[in-house]
Amino acid sequence: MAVDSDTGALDDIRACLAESELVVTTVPSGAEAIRVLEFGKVDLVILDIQIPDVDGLSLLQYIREHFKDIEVIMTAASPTVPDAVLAIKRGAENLLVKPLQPDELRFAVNRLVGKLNHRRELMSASSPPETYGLIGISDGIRNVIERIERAAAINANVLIHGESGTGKELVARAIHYGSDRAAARFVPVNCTAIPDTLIESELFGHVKGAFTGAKDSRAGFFQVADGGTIFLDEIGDASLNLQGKLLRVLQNKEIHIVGSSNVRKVDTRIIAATHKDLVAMVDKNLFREDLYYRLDVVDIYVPPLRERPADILPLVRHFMNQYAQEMGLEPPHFSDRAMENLKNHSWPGNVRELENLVQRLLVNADSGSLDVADLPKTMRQGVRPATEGFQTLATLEAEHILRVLESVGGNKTQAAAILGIDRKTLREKLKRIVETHQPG
Amino acid sequence: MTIAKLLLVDDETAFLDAMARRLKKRDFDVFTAPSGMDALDVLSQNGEKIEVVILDVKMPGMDGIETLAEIKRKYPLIEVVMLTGHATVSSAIDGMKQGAFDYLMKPCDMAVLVEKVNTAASKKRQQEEKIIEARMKAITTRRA
Repeated sequence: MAVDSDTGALDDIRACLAESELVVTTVPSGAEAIRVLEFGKVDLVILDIQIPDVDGLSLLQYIREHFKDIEVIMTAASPTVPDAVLAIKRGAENLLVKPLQPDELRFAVNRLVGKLNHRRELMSASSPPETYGLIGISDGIRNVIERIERAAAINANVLIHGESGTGKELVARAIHYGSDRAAARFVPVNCTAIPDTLIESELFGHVKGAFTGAKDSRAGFFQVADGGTIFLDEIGDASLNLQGKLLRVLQNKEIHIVGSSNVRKVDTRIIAATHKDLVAMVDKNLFREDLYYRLDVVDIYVPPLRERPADILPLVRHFMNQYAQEMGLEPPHFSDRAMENLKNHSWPGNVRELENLVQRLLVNADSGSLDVADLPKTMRQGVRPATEGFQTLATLEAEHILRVLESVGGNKTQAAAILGIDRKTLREKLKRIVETHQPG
Repeated sequence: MTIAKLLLVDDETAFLDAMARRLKKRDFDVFTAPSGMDALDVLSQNGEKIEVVILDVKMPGMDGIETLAEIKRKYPLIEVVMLTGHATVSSAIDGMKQGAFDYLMKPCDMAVLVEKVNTAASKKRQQEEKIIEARMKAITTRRA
């Protein structure tokens, strides 16, 4: 679309682009330009800086804020330096001085068309297969999808196990929304997050005045999920007290609301998930065997990323596209060597780790391509250099902090407690570690 | 107002000294360089510290645009304000596309310059803060 108050200039643009395969719309004012932008499919705007109703630079800003995929070339008869600076700052690709030189215009337009095509290719060709939000082509993930479909078709309880970051909640959601309970609620509950004293009121709700501080009646998770699905995450971390309460609901399909003498029937499907070995916990009497058998009717194992290396690249592409789009960036290109390193990494944090890495690479990317040097140190190949002589205290401290952090699963509060420093100090130290160890 | 660390680059040494003095009076840390090459030297020695470069466009040898491109390649986070006596529209476009933070015309008003430098410096700090946050997040969650 070309926007200019001068019909002669519009004719020139039309003539100049006649041989291209572009569909050219011309409008004489900003108001009409906005109307066309809102209804039409515009990829590229050639915008004069002086149009009658709005200032061209304001319209440029409007386009940038509302249509971030549209590219803009500005034109001006006698631009000033501040105009030019502002145009580029606001995201115009170029500013051409009038009278327009056909070659110059064609060159600028062709460049942008190339850029648009490139972006589209990246978007479409590289969108990996996605089912229920699960991305991948490996047998491992196909098996998971197959089991999700089988579980969705019946009404039995499900136990999902797999390492942290493999997407257990995604699987649970897929089962719920694929089942005939989809219209009712899906209620995720993190079993580690419920304090023991509040278990009953959290799960089953309470009536007004049931205990000190119970100012209002409150529905518990089981009431909210009535007719739907309750997702018990980290069931392996549930206290024996909580396990007992859950078992009773599972057996009787009824709940006692705290402070009320009534018993209420509930119809809730339970999907539980854990990264722990429940069988071993049953052996050690840490997990109730009767509860285990009630939960483990359908069993779904979500394999860790290192067991399905074929999915690594599709996942990288998926998150790269997703976050690049969110941040309004071009997805960068990975060098073959960088790809190779990603494939060979063991991904202890699984898909979540990969997602974080991609996000971080995008934030740090200075150019359109990413190479091995941009990856974190742990992901670069080659042997770690042997430490010569003694280390500095700072290095030792850094390593120790990271090791402690690792052992508590990244929980800064816990790590700070073990290290005997407060959380703020830990944060400061981490910040310094990150700064001195950059990049990666 | 925050105090920023600057590098002034201009081949007119009289202008360079005068500017440096005026900026120092306003509590800026000022480094100076009389050419593009010298500017890169100063950066390679003090790259960590310098937040904003004020760069003359027209200089003999390596000109402002070339110097800008090189600075942005080596230190993408450093913000560069171009300063010029006789800017052309095309050089302004070139500079902005190479990643300059802004363009100022000589003679420039001190207050405007100070304000630009401060915005540029705070942009750089925000950018760095973001990166540190992302790295911290990556470290802590990678270990989760």
